[in-house]
Amino acid sequence: MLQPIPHELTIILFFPILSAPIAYLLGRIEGKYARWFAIIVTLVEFLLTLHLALAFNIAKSNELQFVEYYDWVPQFGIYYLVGVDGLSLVMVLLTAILSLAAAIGSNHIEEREGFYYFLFLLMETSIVGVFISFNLFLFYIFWEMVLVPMYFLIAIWGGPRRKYAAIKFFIYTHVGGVVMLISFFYAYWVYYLNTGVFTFNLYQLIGLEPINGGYAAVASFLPRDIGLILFGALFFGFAIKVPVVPLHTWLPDAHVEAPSPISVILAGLLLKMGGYGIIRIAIPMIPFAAKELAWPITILALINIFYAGFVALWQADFKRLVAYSSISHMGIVVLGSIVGNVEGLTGAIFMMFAHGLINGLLFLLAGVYKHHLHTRIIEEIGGYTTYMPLASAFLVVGGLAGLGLPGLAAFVAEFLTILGAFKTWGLRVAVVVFGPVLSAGYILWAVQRIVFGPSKTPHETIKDLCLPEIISFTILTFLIVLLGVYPRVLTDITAQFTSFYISKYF
Amino acid sequence: MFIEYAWLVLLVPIFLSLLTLLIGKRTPQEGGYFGVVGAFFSLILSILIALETITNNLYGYKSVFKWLTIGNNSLYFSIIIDQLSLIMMLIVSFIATLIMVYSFGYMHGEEGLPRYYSEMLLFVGSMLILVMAADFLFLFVGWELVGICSYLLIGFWYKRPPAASAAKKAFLTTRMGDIFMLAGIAYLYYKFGTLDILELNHLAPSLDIKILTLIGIFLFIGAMGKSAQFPLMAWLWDAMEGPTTVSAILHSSTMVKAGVYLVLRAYPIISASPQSLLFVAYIGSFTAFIAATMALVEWDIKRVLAYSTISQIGYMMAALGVGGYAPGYLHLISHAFFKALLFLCAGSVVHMMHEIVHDPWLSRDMRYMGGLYRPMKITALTMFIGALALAGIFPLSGFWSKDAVIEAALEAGDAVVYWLLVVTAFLTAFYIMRLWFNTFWGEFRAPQMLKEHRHSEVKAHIHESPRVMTVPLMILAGVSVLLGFIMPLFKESFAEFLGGYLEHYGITLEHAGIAHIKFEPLVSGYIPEVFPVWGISTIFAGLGIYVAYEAYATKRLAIDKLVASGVGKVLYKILDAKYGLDHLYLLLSEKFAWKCLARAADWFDVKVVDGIVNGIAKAGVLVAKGADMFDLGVIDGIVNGIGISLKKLGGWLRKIEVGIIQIYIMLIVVGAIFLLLLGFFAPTYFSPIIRWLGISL
Amino acid sequence: MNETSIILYSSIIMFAIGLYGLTTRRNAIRMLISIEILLNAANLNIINFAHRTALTNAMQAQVLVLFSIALAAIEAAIGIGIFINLYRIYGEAEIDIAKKLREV
Repeated sequence: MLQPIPHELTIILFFPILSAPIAYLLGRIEGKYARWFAIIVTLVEFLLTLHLALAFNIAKSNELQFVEYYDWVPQFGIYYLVGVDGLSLVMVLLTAILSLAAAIGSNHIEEREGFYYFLFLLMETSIVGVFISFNLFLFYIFWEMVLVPMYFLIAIWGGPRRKYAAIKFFIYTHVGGVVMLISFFYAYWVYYLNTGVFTFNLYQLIGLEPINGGYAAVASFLPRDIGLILFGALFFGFAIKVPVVPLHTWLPDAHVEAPSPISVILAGLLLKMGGYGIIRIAIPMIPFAAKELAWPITILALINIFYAGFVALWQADFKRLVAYSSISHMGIVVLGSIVGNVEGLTGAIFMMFAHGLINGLLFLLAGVYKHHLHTRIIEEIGGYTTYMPLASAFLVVGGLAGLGLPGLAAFVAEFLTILGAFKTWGLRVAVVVFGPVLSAGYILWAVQRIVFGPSKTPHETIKDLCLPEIISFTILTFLIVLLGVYPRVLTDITAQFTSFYISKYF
Repeated sequence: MFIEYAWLVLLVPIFLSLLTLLIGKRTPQEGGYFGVVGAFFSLILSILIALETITNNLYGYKSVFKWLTIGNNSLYFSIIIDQLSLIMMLIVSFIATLIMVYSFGYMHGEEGLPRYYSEMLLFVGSMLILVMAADFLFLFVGWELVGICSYLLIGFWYKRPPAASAAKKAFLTTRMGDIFMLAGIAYLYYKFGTLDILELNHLAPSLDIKILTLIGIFLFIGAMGKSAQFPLMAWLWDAMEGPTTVSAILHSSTMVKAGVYLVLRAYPIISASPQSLLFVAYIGSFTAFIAATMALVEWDIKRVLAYSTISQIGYMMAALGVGGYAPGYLHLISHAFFKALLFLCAGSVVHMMHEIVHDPWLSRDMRYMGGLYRPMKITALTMFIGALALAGIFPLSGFWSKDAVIEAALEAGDAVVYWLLVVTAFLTAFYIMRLWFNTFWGEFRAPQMLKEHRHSEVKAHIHESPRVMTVPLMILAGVSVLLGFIMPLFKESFAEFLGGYLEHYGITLEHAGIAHIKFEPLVSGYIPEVFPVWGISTIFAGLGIYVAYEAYATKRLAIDKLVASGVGKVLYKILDAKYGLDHLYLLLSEKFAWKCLARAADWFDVKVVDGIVNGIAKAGVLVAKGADMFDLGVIDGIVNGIGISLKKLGGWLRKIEVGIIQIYIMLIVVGAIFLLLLGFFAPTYFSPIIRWLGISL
Repeated sequence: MNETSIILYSSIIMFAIGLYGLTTRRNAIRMLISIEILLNAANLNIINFAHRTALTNAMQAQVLVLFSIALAAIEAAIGIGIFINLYRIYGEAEIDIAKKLREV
């Protein structure tokens, strides 16, 4: 337990965005300087986050810590309210780790680096902001703030269909954001009508913080059908981000066309914003709706797992395959968060973290293959294992992690979620166990075509991983193995949070 | 005090596995020594722990590691040292040590050796996890890990496509079984809130009998996958693509036994329902039979042994199904040794054949062998011992254990199980002696075959394998013989020993180690009680050996003619096609899952779902276009229209400006007259105007 | 038919003649003459009725007529000035020459 730094959270929040202009200017001088600067910034950010984690009181992880509360527009209930509890801390840690890994892994971005890292750091701030804001207006600002840099990052440095993918991504997720905002306004209005207070503060709206001496939750003021609709709207907004089938089609295009380090951020963090939103906002705001709609949402989660898995099986493009596997894994997150028990919720949170690491690794590998072999097509990547033994080794580890091998992070999440699902639904969800077979199918098939098989002779010398790549891959692999063998590193942080959450909302 | 270090038994190999991967290249034998050290360490520690446990009666020693906490519950990794785990620990580490030593010779010169030894060590560690696990979570961890080691090791020669496919097939098929087990485990957790096997053994039988049957069957399906029982057995013969050492350890003596071990461990749960037992017994005996039939027509030496493994595990499962707890375990032990022996002997032969024939497939083909007795005496003799043990000939270990199984079937009284097992004994003896005769008897056929089929000449330099390989063979053969002497003497004590485990759950083992459970035979009767069991089995086995001798050694029995036409040909074709199981796997995986479902899902996703999105976008564009048209056409049109009409009005009004003065004058006059007239005829309206005009004028 | 009506009818006829001349003649001088006739007709009519009414208004009427005659003279003078200019520019004194401002 370390001593907290004053305003630590605000520093963590704004440090990247304040460094961003410097990165841009350095980039004008020489591209490499921007890259080194960005790596240093993300590293510092990571260390700060680590310090935050060590100063965090795990025994009280259901309470908000490091809270900073300032008036912004109090007349409308808009405040600068940031803090971390168990869940937020986990997500912020993930952000810091993946930003660092992605920054290191951006060694193949060779034009307009200044602007690239400017946008990159801007995004890091926005994502952190989403995870630590507890005032819904502030939350919305950061939520939307993520979209613009991401749009540019895809549209400028992306693949052949980047314009289409970027616009699709922006508009689609923006629609979700707007629906979410409308729901926020509605809740805000209902709250005002019943309590006379204008506030966007989350904890006040869900009744955890007192207002005028009493507790009031928006859910209690809503008749059943309105509550269901509001939950549906909130869920819709977040479901686009998660993504939940059938609102997922922005994802394959965005992931595939984005440059690989940005795919890491997209898959590793942006998707988690959706899951985070469901856990943090949608369910607590209208718990009775969550309970009523649990079974339909479970079905949706199962559809995610299987439908996306089957589509992944058919993909010839490695990056697209990994993108669909992301959708499949996020199905597990949705499943875990809706079953309403500690096992499931822990599984969901764990999966968010684990999947960020695992698919981060896989996307960076895709980037390596793109750069060294100039192709994303699996058939064409295969056969060069002899020339790229390290990359193949990491691919095997990443692939095994992705299919839920015990000893690696995703197993914990899948196992816990399955336990949780059975605990709530019994044998009705038995079909969920076929998920691991499907994921083993597409992953092993992809691995087989890439790593196994006769060697091909290359036209030009093929290089194996270079040092920055080795470093970022090793970091990610180490964490994946650590979490797989000793998951308590994460679950101890979330333990109090999950038990409080379940007891309160389910 | 050794027992406190029990965790090291499984941790040391895993740690050494990682070490080998990282620095193995620089060590002598490229990591081979790490392999031996790791396995040997586990062996020594297991022996010490076993001695300590037996002398101090420490059975049931449990060590728990809190893996994670969720709310009020926790999930643990826990190990237990008891009757079941001790035996397996010893077997696994002993055989592993021998095979590591054997690998020095067999894998000499291969590329990627550190990877091999690392994966082998990981396997040893994982298998130990599996057998020492006291809760289903840790068991499942070990279960999956051995599955992955199997995948990695089968695919060791990754450049060969058949190896890669075989590895994937193995993993996917076993995973299909594993998930049923997972469902069973999750359901038990759901009902009882714990994953501890020992506790669940107590609690589970209280479930409703239908659910209990289902759970028992689910757990057994997991066992079926790992132990290659019908129908999840097609992976095991393809797994022979891996190095023979891998086949020897994973796919004959240890990993495939994991399923049997699971049944042994969770016996109270599975035996609590007669239907599950029936399922186990029937699947086991049925598998034993059909696997043996497939071995009749196979020419690949390793595949014959693979079918044999499947068949013998069928025996074990059948034994457990009818209640033969100790017989099942007994057969597991004796089979582990002689099957490992057989595989290593086969490896010796294949290794040597490879030097001559150079083709990985042909070097395993028995049609190219023959007459290897003289140059490879040690291999031939040890293999002969192993073959006799498998056939169940007195006084080898196989005789006693197989008899115990058949005796259990006899006691249980199910005719189908009994006769399947007995007939399989005949088939077993036949196919194994067929193997032996084809490999070691007669003339060396490779030069002839190569000349005919490949038009190539070879130098037939046949030699015995190096000592590094033959010593383990001799050791294993010795063990089989030794066990043969020990078994009859210690059968009773063994039953008592095992009984110690089941006692806790209220299951007693009777005289032959048969558990007092409620097995209900499906088809009773038709079992001759006249002959003692050893008589029946010896007759059938002897018959099998004799037929094989006549067919392949003296060639007096023309097998080729039998299968060339008629019923023989049909049977041959069915058996050769392995009952279509390979086709089934391909059908399910490639045609169905991949081409059908995956393609459909992808089409649906791209055309329909995304089509809707793109359609919405296009609709949006149309709406925008419409809005634009509306804006330009209508709204702007109104604005412009106003302008135009004003202009027209202006233009029209301008017509008055004729510029011709007379017209102006006329207008003035007409206007004046008009006003005057108005003034006369509508004075009320216009008189004020006129008056005003008048006044101003 | 008394005096008043005779003079009235004659002034009407004169008015009509003047109107006719004003509207149908193209020559500027003729138009001027027509205007004189028109004005004189009106003057005549005023005197005619002034002669018949009460005395107090008769004075006003006669003064009005005097003004009118003076104005007619002035206007004729100015008109002649304009038309002489017109003649100078165009070479003839037809009214319909001055239609440059016409919106064709």
